[in-house]
Amino acid sequence: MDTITAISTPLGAGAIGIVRLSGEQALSIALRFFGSSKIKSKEDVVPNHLGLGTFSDGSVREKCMMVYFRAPKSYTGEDMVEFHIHGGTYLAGRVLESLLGAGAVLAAPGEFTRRAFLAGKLSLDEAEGVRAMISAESEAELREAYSLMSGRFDQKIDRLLTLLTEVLSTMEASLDYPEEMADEVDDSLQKALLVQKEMTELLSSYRAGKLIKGGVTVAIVGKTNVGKSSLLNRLLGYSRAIVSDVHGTTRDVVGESIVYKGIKINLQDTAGLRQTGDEVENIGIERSLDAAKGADVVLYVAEAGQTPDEDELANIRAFSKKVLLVNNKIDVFGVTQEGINISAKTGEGVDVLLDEVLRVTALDHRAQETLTEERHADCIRRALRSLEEGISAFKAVNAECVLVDLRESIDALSEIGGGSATDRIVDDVFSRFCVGK
Amino acid sequence: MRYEAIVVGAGHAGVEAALALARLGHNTLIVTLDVKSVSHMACNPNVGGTGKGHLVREVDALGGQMGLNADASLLQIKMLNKNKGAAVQSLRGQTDKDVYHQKMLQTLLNQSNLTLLEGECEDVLVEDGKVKGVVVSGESYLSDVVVLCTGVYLSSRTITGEEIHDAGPYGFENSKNLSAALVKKGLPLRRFKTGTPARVYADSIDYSVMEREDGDYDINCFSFLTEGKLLEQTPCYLTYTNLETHRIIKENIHRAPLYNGTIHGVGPRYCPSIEDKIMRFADKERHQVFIEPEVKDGELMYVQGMSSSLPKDVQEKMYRTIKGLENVRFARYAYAIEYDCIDPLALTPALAVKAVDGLFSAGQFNGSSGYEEAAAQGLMAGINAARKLENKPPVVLRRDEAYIGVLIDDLVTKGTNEPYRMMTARAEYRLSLRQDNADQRLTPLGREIGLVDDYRWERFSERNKKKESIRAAFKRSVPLASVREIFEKKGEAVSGGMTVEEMLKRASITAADVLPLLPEEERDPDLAEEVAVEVKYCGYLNKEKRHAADALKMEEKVLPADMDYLSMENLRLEARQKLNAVRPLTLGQASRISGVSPADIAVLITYLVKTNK
Repeated sequence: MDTITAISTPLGAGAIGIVRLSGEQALSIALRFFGSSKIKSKEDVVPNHLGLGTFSDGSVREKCMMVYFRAPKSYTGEDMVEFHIHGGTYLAGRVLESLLGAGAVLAAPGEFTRRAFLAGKLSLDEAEGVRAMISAESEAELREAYSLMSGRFDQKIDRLLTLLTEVLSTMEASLDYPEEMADEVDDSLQKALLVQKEMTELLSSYRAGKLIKGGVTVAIVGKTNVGKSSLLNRLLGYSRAIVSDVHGTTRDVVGESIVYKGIKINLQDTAGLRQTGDEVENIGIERSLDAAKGADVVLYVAEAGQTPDEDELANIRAFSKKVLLVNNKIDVFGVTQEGINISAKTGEGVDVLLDEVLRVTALDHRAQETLTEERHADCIRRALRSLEEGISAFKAVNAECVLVDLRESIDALSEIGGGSATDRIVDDVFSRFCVGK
Repeated sequence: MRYEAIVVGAGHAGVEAALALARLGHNTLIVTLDVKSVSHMACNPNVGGTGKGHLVREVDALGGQMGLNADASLLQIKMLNKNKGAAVQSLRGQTDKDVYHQKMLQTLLNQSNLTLLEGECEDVLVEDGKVKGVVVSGESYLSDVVVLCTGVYLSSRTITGEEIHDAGPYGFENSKNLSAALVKKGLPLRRFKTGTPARVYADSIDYSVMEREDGDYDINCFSFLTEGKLLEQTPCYLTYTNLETHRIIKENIHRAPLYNGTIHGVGPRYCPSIEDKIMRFADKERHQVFIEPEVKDGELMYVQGMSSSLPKDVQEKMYRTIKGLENVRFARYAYAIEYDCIDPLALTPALAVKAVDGLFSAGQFNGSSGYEEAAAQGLMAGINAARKLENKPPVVLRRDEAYIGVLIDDLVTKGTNEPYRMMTARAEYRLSLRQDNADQRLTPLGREIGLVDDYRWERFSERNKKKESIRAAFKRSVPLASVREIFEKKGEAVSGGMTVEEMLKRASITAADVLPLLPEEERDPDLAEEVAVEVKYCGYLNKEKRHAADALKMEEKVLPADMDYLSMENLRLEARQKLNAVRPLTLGQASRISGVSPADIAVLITYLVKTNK
């Protein structure tokens, strides 16, 4: 069985995110990213022991805890690893992506439970959890906002399935009807290559798609007392953050979500940036920068009529591609040439700002097929992997071997919408070819 | 009159069921409408074909009769896909229909514990939901189990244009009363359709303008017990339809029962009539027509590819447009046949009818098509009826064990909307389920069941032992000089010595190439070929094994028989209904039902945990 992984804590809530792995490769995949002074190799890992270390993969470097449960003494009865990561969806998502990239596959809804059940281990509580997960998945309102996109996505998957079915049915028909198929043209490889190209493109839309599904994360940063919290409050329509005239009132990141034009926007107010001796406040400032790093869009708020701190702005632009310069307090200081002019106090310009946020992020993807569900992305990832194996074997081995890979591919793709790949192939054989005597 | 078991019908399913029951020691009665129709090949004069050849081998490996009977009546044998990989190679044999019938009839008559009765089965006796026997031509015959193998005879009618006959295939009598009786017992019957081409006089054909199709002389026959190769073979001939043929059909399409509404039954897509092919594939300029002998040196030929239900005058006109058939004379015209059969979703994987305890069914009655599909089900229904008598659990072959497993699982889990034909495309573990290893897969099971006699078992063990020693020899390393010699012939370079296995992993090296490297007494070219296949497929076989191991975990979770699916509110409505109709035995079977999603399976799991089942 594949080694599976998933974020086990509810998205967006809680101080700690847990990402789990289960399967034969769980520990070896985990140790490709996790290390500590005590843990250099598999032998150093003590089962059932929560240990502190660093998860590092490219740009991600995060202190976190890891615990290893050795088979069969685990929830699923298989080797399992859990990462306990500091709160927020963002980091858990990055960890998940790393694990998927290293060969783990995304757990299907209820799959940890299914494995636990098949291994003869399961408590009722956990089984109930499965049901909740399933009901959440089918929640209509969740889909509604994205209906336009998902409609296009379904069409795209249909197209890929149709193409791939044609590849398989041509090859299968030649095996089942060797005499009648002798004079049919076989363009399977060309079609397979086309599917590969389209799948690759679809996968690359995933990042953009995820923005839309999970919402757009917007960090509000800037010097102290430029009105960041006032902006947040204006956006929220009520007084969420403490607003005062004292510099450095916000000492932590304050997060809240709004829905604007059907898209969820996760707002993060941060501590103002300034040199200070206050240790607590310094930690807050550090977190502001972290929040900015993790955000999809950064609003750099400055006072209207003042030249923004170019160094600071450049510093933020270095780690975020989408930085909007926001000139606040135009009711007092008047408008500025560069940037978006608003007044948090009167609300002037705030709509323009939000439109701009949507424009620079995901909405340009609305017209295209966009991948939003991690489960779908995982199906396509697996379908692509098998398809590529099949394509590379095309010339080297017999058709029935290539078909083992292509079957894996179409089975993975079929998981998105359900339905039997075999039935589809058999139907296609008889609708496209005149076979049978 | 009292028997332990009664089999209704003596076609390809019925004879296997009856022989299995009798051979397992049960006093068995087999009923046929007409002794002349025992194992009658009502359609094509051949056994095997892609996927079907596998079924014949499997039936044989389990101790069934079809392979031996086909071998005894072979006119030609061919390995389909000979130039492709071993897993998709299938045997197809042309057989002498008269000899096939005679040999099987003889086998039935010589079988102890078996009585053959001619008469019409009119009813199945049921008391308190349990089968008690049958009524044949007005008389009751009692038994504890009954196997229905009625083929295409239930309330059948044959159709040739405007001519409709209340009859069975090939002019045999049909069964008039049983259908209605079965419906009364609660069996869900429906109507299927199939067809057959004309039989024409051999001396009215000009073979000189057709392409001659010969068999293969270097291959084994169907049965693992048949020794030697088929040295004397009869050719078939290939010709084609043309635009003139197509024009005649199109002009007369309003007289085709398929197109004017006379036929309501659902026909098989893989066995289309010629009018179907012309109408659906208008672009094709010609279609293949094979001329095949019905019997050895006989007067009739079978015109494969020209199945039709058009009127006789149109048939004559269109056949005579074909090259070589210009002066053809008809002995029997092509016809379509409609018949009643059961919705196989009403059956368990043991081929037991859910509604009536002790009632089993097999063959075309179960919605399949083809002699081989029928024989395979007949054998399994016979085995499971016998085990019912013995209070033993049924034998259900898994999809990774046999094509028979795929066939029966597809029928009883997914159902079918047309007569079901076996195809290699349906077998997800195709590389493992080869015709060459059918004995390895199934003969030990056949032995356990009790159908593999000492002779077959000894032959099997011997073959297996030889294969084992070839496997061992393949692992030995070969001196560099010998390796080099073999590779040089292929124009390939080698850097060092290697084992035979390593050599075989190269695409260019065949079993024949390495044969001289084996010790003299192990140089069996057939067995070496079979072992070489295992080596060549190795990587892909391992992939299949991993998938099969995953699937097995789901197969091992048994679903309680008393599950109340309809009241399980967390299941989607469609899933509730489908699960209730199929009543799957395992979670694995449940997951293959169309309309049951992975989420539904998760709900089922939750339910099982909650109720501690």
